[in-house]
Amino acid sequence: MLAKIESCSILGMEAFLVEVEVDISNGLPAFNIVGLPDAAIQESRERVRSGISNSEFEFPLKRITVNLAPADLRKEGPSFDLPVAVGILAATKQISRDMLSDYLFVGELSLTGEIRPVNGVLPMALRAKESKKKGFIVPKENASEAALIGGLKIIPASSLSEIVKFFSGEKEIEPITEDIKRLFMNNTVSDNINFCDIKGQEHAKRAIEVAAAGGHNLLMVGPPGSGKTMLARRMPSILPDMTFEEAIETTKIYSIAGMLPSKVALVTSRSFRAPHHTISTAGLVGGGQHPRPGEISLSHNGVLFLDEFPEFTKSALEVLRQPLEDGIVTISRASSTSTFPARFMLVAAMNPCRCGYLGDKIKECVCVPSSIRQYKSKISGPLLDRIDIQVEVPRLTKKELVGVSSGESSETIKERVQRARDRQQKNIGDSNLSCNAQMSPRLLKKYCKLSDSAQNFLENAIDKLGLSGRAYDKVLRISKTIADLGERDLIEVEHLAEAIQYRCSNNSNNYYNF
Amino acid sequence: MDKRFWLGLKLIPVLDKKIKTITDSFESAERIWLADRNGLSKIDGIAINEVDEIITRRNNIDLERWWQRYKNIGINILTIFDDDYPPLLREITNPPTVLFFKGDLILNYSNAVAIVGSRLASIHGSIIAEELASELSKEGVTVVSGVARGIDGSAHKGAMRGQGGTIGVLGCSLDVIYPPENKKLYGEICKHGSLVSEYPITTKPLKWNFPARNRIISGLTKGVVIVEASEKSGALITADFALEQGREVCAVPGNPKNKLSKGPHKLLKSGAYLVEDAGDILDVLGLIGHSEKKKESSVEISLDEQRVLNFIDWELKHVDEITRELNVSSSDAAILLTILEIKGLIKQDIGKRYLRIH
Repeated sequence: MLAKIESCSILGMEAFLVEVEVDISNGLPAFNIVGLPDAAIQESRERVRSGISNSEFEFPLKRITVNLAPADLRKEGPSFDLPVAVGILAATKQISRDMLSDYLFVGELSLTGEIRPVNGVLPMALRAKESKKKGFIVPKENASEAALIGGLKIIPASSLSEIVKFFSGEKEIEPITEDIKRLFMNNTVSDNINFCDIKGQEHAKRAIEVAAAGGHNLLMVGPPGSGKTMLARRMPSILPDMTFEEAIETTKIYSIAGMLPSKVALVTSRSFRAPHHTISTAGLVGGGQHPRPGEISLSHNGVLFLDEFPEFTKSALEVLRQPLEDGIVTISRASSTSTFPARFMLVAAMNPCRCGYLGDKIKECVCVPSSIRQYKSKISGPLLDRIDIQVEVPRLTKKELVGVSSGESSETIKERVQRARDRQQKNIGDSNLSCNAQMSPRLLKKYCKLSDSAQNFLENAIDKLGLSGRAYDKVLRISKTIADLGERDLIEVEHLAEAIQYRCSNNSNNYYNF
Repeated sequence: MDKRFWLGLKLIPVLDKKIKTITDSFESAERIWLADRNGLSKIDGIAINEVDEIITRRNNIDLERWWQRYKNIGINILTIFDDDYPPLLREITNPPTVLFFKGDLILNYSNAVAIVGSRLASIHGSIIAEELASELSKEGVTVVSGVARGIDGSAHKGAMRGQGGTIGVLGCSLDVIYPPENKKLYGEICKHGSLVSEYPITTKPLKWNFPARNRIISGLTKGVVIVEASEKSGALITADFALEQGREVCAVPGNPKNKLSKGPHKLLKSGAYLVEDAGDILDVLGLIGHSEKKKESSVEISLDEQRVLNFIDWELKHVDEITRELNVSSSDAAILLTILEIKGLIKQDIGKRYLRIH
């Protein structure tokens, strides 16, 4: 006897439909799964067998063949437990078959017949809706995530027997819905991470505000203990709120990576990822036999913070170049090629030299010039090209630590940042960009209009300060953001003058050339 | 033609070491190079057991090819027997018999001054060295230094602005770039003066070459100016050579707490001339500056800029200090600093700190 159940699997960022065919025929008792299953699917035979018997159903002592179609795509994970079990019950007529074809099934079974959560439910729900299914049977824990996709009946299932009762009409299960507005409502800046905790550092704070307003990548250079990490951690608190589309994108990645916290339907706050510098290339950009998103995708629409920037392996840093440019990363493996979104803001922190105290007021640097050069050369030019703002963060003296009052709160800064972003939306939105940092040199010419005096000033500055071609583009991009923060359309002298400050000193005597 | 044989002598280490002794006995390089076994053993300073080594090495050297190699790199050879050999250098106890040089050697050698100092110079020191060199050069004085990091590099850079030009003396051969970041500086020096070395090509910057180089630096000049040097700095070796050679020693004082002031202060205590500006150096060396005193800077600055400039003064000040003490917003401070930097009144040091330079 044959039963067909529809399910879903994940490939890269997208879900694809999988037809689970269960055939039960006479012969020696056997249970085979075909259709390129991975080890977790092979093991599902044991879970299905126990799950069915422990839910007071009969496991047929016959020859059972399960086929996962399309048979040429590799499938992974335990999410086929439920469709296989339902298929066996349907083939043995232990479940009502009337409405089975209206639904998609995913879920992992426990030996007791309970249903456990699986990864990637959000993209699966999207696929279910696209394929015009009426409903989607999902594990209870994943239900709110799936419910973000409106127009689909999301049935939260907690056990196999419950599903059987649902289809026979013995039990009603209320479909889950989510109020998206409510999800965005409870997204407030948490009190323990706020910019008002930071004393002094006015220059660095302003640089961070500009970086947040324009989505510019940021490099902080400073001695140990100067507060670089503290500053970086507060970055998400001043970034503008996520839009619904952004939230869905980020949630999709977290759902696939299986990193969505339980009871959280939608990631509504910008992510902040701070991987340790021992991270591998695959860990950073994603990878694996079935490609999975890496840290850069997990920080999509958020902040990727790389502390001790030069300590990352050279290869790990260099692979950042393409995603920084394109906002996506394509991972090719023998079995498949997947593209993950990776539009993140890079915030990097590093010491000025190996000992850490070059340019410090109090402690003297003990590095020799060649070691300073070597330390800096770990960050390649092409990578630095992609970091618009460079800011030096000094250590505070005792007087400053005690005397200085705390600065503005994150909420005040965020308001300004939000206004600047709204202006950018209006200005450059028609080029399909969301912030100034994404402007290519060609678009810079189109959007960065300078006043006459500013034009003179810039030419003078290039001459006197020896700005390079790449520095020129950066200065234009940053000054556009500063103009946006000041709610001005034309770039004026003051915007340029400030933008020029957000670069590291170019003093050849000290071999500190960025 | 004779120069080729000089090159040949430099290429055989045994002869190179004794080049002074063997050429003092009025032997021409050509005669030494062409001498047979018998002739070589008769030359003063060559031991019998060295003759065989000299002959084997000599047979392996294709002089014409080497000569072309030097020409291709642009290296010229000057010997102590040449008329255009720097007269001041000729006076020292052990002048280099053969000098390799690149660039233009016809500079005003009677008016040369060395500016040397620490490789790990502070921004203060670098600015002072550059300023002194530039003013001396504008007075027609050639500035000699060691093409090293720090003070040396600044001195060369400053000197290129005037007609005096600059001479760089290397501790390695002319085809070896050390330190590597000085590649551009090498080229610039050749354009505005010359690079000099007593070592045949492919000589690495070995550490014992540098004291020997220092004797040439002081030897080429009438006086040596030390800007920033720690107690063990090589710049002090140059000063010692200068004393031995009877040249003037000048030093620029600094903050007594700073270890880079120890060297100059030590020299000052033992009688070196104190130097505050280029005029002091010209006085000491009996040179007369012909251009009138430098005009006060004529840059127009606004009241706010003047306030920032007065606050920064001649001490390194961090941008946040400026923001706080002058009670301006961080963006306003940034604007004023950029404008002052462009006007050339302040300079940025590492760690976002600023220093007034005019």
